Amino acid sequence: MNDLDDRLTDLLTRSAAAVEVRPDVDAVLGDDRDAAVVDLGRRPRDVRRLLALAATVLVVVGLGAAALVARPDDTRPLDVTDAPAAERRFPVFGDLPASLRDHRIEATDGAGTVHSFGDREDGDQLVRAALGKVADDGSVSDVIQLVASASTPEGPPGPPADEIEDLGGGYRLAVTVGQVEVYGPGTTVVAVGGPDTEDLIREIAGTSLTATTVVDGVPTLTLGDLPDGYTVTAPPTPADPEQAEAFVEGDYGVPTTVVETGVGSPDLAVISAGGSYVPVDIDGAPGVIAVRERRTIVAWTAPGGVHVRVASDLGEDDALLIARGIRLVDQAEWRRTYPERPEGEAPPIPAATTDHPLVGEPAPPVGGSTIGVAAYHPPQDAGEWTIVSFTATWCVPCVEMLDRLAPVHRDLHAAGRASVVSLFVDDTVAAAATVVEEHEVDWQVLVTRPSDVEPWGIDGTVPATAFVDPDGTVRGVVVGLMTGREIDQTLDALGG
Amino acid sequence: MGDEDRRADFTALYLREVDGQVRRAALLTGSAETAHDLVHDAFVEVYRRWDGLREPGPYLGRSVLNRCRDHARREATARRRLPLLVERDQAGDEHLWDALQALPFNHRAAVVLRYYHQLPQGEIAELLGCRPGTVGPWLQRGLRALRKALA
Repeated sequence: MNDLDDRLTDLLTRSAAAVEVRPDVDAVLGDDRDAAVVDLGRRPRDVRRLLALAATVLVVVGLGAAALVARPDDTRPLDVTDAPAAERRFPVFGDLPASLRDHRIEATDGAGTVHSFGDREDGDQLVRAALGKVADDGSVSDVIQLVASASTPEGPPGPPADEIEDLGGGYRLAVTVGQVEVYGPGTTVVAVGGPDTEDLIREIAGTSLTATTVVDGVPTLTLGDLPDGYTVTAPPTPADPEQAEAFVEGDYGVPTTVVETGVGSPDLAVISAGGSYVPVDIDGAPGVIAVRERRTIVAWTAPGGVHVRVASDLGEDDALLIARGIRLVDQAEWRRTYPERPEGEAPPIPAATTDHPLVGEPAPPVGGSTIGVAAYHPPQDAGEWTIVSFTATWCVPCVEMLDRLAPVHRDLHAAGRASVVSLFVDDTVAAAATVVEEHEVDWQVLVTRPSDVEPWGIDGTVPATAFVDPDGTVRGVVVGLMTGREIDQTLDALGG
Repeated sequence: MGDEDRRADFTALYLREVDGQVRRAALLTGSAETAHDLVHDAFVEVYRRWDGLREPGPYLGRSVLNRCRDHARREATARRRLPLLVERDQAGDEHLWDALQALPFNHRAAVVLRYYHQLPQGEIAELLGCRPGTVGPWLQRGLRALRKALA
């Protein structure tokens, strides 16, 4: 048995042994006796999961900022205040209607101000919303994300009908089963619905936000001087211009700092664990800090952009030391730090694109039902490159990607470069047909069973995109959401 | 079958299976609380269908795995929109735990069923509802991804 086998067996055995099993057969029998109300009884459990999800997420959205480490030697004393949760109210909510004053709110805005929230009790309603002004080109500005909760004795409402509504002023609202989303073509953001969700969003949509700076560059972070024992292991040179990651490695051998930008939007999103946040002053900027188990989380803002660190396995002092060392840079400095690729040089192929067992192999045949307006032609018979998009109606980013594929299909097919095939994975024909009609999909569409696409090795992980050359050979597979520009660039890089 | 007999038989199945099912679901979802919820729901479904089930044990196993798969799908969708840091294994080897939880569900399930339950590929295929020949590639891809993550 090799080392990985041993480690896996050991890890799984220890992890399973650590699970505290609480048998309660009476609860099962009781649920069955109350079968008529079981479905209602399940909802609060779902809400609790959502609350747990929300309590473990702090999302900070910023726009057009790049940051560099500069002053790790700043040792100004901290002003740590354990303010009551009720006083940590984000100014933007100062004009909330009286009926919403009791909501507890966590929010971030485009300028990066962060507010957190206290613990919630089971049964509370949760509203998570994000708003942004969506321009015609898909860019999003004045982004705000918020979470609010309120006690609602009647419990959550039933799922509202699917609909998309123009809220005016560039805001658009989608209400889908069990949740509310406000989105534009360049981003998808999430809200979990409560009885007053739409009213709340309408109210907040009219609130003026702090002005933000939109830069057409790449938001990312780099790290400089760090405390002893910490090294930068993955400098943020993003392969994806809309994504960046930074990791700080500690002595523990685990990633201790994670910074990610939003996908498909210029938003800078930083994800952290939950916990009780305490306001701190960081070089005059308001921030929050939380120490939870082995993680220390610091989030704060500065004029013009967002400064954030999520540091686990760091002590509070070290985390703040890193936090203080970041400063914003302008686009010119960013360009000097990360020069653009020389003209004429072939674009790099993202490593993940060709790191798939199917690459170099003939495209597997696909079964399923053809729907929509276009007849299906196997890649071998297409006479041009085929972009095979694995999608699903139950996958929100996949549906978003359908909109992105429309111009890709139109432009590439017209140029004789490539055609697009969308394969709905693990869907019904009726569900897929509805989405195809709603999104005016005019390219080839197949509705498949999981076994139909099993040879592609996609395993239900959608969205995913395969690039097949005119000879029918798979040249690249990308798992995850892609923008139209990325699809075009990847096709270009692969020689298509 | 009378109500008392049905309850007695179901209770025997419950006491025999609940421990293993919760632990398995916890490994697949990364959360003991979620595991309890999913397994509880599966047991409720089994009890409702009790009179029509010829083999309630295997049905329960598939039901739990399907619920874990659905959970993974929902989590994956949510994570794409608002990525999360997953809870880490408190027992150590956090890198491996993180990498395991990041695997596609079928790969993760194949690894757990092979390395925790020590099941042969035929039984894994039966539980996951796939052909036996599919399990091998899932295992290989899962292990390859784990090695890559640990490299």
